[in-house]
Amino acid sequence: MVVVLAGLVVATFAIVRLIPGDPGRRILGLRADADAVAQLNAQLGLNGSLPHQFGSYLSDLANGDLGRSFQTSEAVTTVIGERLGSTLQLLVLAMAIVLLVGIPAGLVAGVALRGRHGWGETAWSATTGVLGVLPHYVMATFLAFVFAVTLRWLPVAGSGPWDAAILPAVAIALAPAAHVARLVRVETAGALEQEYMTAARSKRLSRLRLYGAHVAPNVLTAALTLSGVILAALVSGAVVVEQVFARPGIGSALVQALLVQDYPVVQGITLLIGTIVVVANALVDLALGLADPRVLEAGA
Amino acid sequence: MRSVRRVTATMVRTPTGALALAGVALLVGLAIFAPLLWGDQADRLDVTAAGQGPSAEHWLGTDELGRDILLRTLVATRLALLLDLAAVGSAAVIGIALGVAIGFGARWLRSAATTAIDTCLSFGDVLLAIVVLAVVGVGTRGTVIAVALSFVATFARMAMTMTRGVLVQEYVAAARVVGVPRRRLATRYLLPNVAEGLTVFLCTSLGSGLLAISALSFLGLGVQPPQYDWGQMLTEGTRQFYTNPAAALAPAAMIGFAGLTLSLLGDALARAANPLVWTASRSARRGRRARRAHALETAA
Repeated sequence: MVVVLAGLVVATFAIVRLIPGDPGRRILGLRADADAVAQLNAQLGLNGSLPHQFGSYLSDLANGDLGRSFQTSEAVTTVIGERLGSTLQLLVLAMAIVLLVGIPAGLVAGVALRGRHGWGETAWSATTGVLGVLPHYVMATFLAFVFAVTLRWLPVAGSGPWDAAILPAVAIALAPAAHVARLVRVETAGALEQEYMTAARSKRLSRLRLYGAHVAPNVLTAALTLSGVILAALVSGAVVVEQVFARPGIGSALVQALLVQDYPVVQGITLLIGTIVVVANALVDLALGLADPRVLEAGA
Repeated sequence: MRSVRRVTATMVRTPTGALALAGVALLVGLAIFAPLLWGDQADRLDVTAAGQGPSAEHWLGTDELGRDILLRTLVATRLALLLDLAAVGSAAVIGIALGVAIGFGARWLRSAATTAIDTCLSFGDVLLAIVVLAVVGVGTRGTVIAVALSFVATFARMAMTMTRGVLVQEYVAAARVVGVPRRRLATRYLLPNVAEGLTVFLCTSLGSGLLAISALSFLGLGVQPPQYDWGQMLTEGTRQFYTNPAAALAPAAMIGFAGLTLSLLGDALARAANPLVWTASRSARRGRRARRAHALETAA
């Protein structure tokens, strides 16, 4: 994990350095005077040798200084600070939807469709298949059309109260939820055929005990394994969907910064998102080890 | 060639296969003929008819500059497919070459490459493409490069896994003992055995590539006017959501349709190419593993 984080720091450092030609010249245009270009390059930390540049980049990072936005000359950390809450709200809500809809749906389908092929099976794979493939921004468009424009139940745009976060969260959560449901269903079907299930049935346990205490825990680890991937998908989705619903989050900040070549903001947000994804993946591994010690033994 | 014909014949007999082939035929037909038939008409401005709802003259209404939504949606098929082919095609060539090379490599190389690739994959394709865009610059060319680079990792990973799968077989060990040179090993022993799997994966990737490119265009980072694709039309359409929802729904529907068709094609190809694995009884452990691997792949 430390290696990956170090790679991330190097990568964000490299973004600006890899731009072909003179970044300052490219941002300001051909007619800008040389002084302004030199000043901008200095602001980007592009003066001096590469090792020297990297050193000052690292010391700035250690001090929590991500530079200043070209556009608003705000510190990048304030830009992020103002917008992070809205994105986190979206992510938390979406993750809750994925887990609270995906896992139960998969469990129920696994139990209900056991040993039966035909229409139920077809309907299940068609629904989850379609939901799993449709991209979030298309889903967001349809959802906004139905619930915000036609039915007028929920607001289309803005952030703030939780009801504005519902549509975007559903839009980015549906596809991952469908994947989780599929996986959980397959796992459930597998768990139902195990011998411990025969034993549990022979004890005449109640349905709730049977499925809740014997099937669910064995299926959860599988869903947990996916959650790192799901988080990455949700973050990607948030970046795109914030644009549809005009939510001022870090995703829309990233896109706008990219359009006006505001590199400090791009660098800062990339670093932040990368760190979130890496840390979350490490946490998932840890949680998996706690939930299922066999994983740790197998890994060692 | 005979195996191609056999696979096609098998595909037509299954409902999903027939559906996927029909969808692909429709898309390719549109890509070839729509710009020839309606290319000029789709660019015709008519400010007096701007922002209209559906009518007999314009079936899906007009955009903010009075251009026909339906015609533009159909004509945009060509650009969408061409960009997709360019991006995913080059990603496939580079990624597969890289993956096979790593697969032949030493153990330390493989584990280092796996870590690097998995880190890239954990960010999701859209996010990765956005970072690349920061370096190569916004626009059509930048989008193709960005999506191609972000897909290289998935192809490399797939090719590497498949290569290892073949290289550990006994017939390869036998060939090595007899002294078959490495290049011949790659062309005569490896390629025929991985070609089918990689083709299937290519189809699925074409689907996700199309969605990724549309996402970037949708954010305003991809195709720039006067060129247009579905993603860009969707952005324009959301601006007139209340006056003419069809302006957003039509391109959204096409993105969904194209994405679904290509992913169905991948599924159907996989089934037709290898009927045993996919129709084996549910309790067969191999099937379950394959499906779980598939779920992980598609979620990523």
